[in-house]
Amino acid sequence: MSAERLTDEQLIREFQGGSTAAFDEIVRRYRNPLFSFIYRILNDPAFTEDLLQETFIRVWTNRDSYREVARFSTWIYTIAGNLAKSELRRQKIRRWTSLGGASSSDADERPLEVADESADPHRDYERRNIKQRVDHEVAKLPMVFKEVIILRDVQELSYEEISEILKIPLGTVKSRVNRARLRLQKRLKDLV
Amino acid sequence: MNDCERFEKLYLDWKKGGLNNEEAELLTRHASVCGSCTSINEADMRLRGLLKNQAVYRPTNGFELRLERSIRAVENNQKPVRLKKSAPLFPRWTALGAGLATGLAVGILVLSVPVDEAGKNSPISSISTPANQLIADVSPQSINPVEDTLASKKDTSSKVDSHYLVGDYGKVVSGR
Repeated sequence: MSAERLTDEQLIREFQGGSTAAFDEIVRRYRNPLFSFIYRILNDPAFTEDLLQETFIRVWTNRDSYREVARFSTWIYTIAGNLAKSELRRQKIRRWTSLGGASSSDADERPLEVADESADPHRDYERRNIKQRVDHEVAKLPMVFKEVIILRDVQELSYEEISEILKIPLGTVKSRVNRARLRLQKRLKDLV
Repeated sequence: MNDCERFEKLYLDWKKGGLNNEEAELLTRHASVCGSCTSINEADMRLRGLLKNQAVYRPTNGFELRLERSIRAVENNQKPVRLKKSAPLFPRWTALGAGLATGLAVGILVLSVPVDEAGKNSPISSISTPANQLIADVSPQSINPVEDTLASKKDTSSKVDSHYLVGDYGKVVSGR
C-alpha cells in the first residue's frame, strides 16, 4: 500500500520497522502544519525552520520511544511545541542580557506561504492584509491563549489532543480557547 | 459586575457546557435586550472562519535535503545543518563585566584589610604617595617583604620613622 494512504499511526509503525519512505511521508504531511505552528509562536522564519528540522530529527532518533497510547500527531506537536517554547525562553534571556535589548530575531522577515489555489487574484491583496492583521493580533496574545487558539482554530486539533499536548485539563483548554476568542473578537471587531 | 460583563462570563460558561437553568435564563434574557452581547456569538463564528483560513506557511526550498544531511550528520555524531546560529545565552560583554566586577570586589576586599596592632604596623600608610599607589595593587602577603626588609635592617622602633622612604619597592633607604 502506498505511504500516502496509511494513517499516521501506520506510518510510524512502518518507520519503526525500518521504512524510510514512511518517514518521508511523515515529513511531507507535517512539514507545513508544524512550520506554521512553530512560526506563529516564534515569529522568526529562520529559527522556525531550524526547530522544524530539530523536530523531525527527534522523531527520527526517538522513533522507538513512540507508543500508540497517544495519537502520533499529539506526539509530534508536543515535540515541536516544547522546542518552540524553549527557544522563546532563550530569546527572552538573550534580549534581557543584550545591550539595548536588541533582539536577534528577523521579525520583519515573513516566511513563504503555501499558495491558496482557490483565491481570487483580484482580492488577493485585501485577503492578505486581513490574514496579516489576524496573525498580528494572535501573536500579541499571551502565550497561554496563543498556543491554544493556534492549535484549536488554526491547526484544527481536537480539545482532547490539545489537552494532551499542553498537559493541561480539558476544561482549561476550553476555557482558554473561549477567552482567547473573546479577546480576538474585541481586537478585530471591525473584521468580525 | 455589570449586566454585559455577567453575560460574558455566562457566555463562556455556556460554551463549556456548564450552565444551570437559572443562569441559562439570565443569558437568554440579556441576549434578547442587548444587541451588542447578542452579536458575540455571530462574531465568534466569523472569527473562527478567519482563523481557519489563516495562511499556511512552509519552509524554504531544499528543506528536505537539508534535513537528510542533518540526520546523517547527527548519526555520525556531528552537528546538524542550521540556517540560523543560536546566539550565546549571555554575550561576551557579560563575561567581561563579571570578571571586572570580581576584580573590583577582590581589590576592595584587599584594601579593607584592617591594619594590625602597633608592633606590626605596616609601613604602608606612612609611605609617600607613589609607593602607596604601588602597594595598593599588592596582596597582603607580598607586603611582607617590605616588613621583612625593615626587619632585616634590625629596625626595632615601634613606629616607622617617616624618614624611611621606600624608593624602589622593597629597598629601604635608611634615614639614619
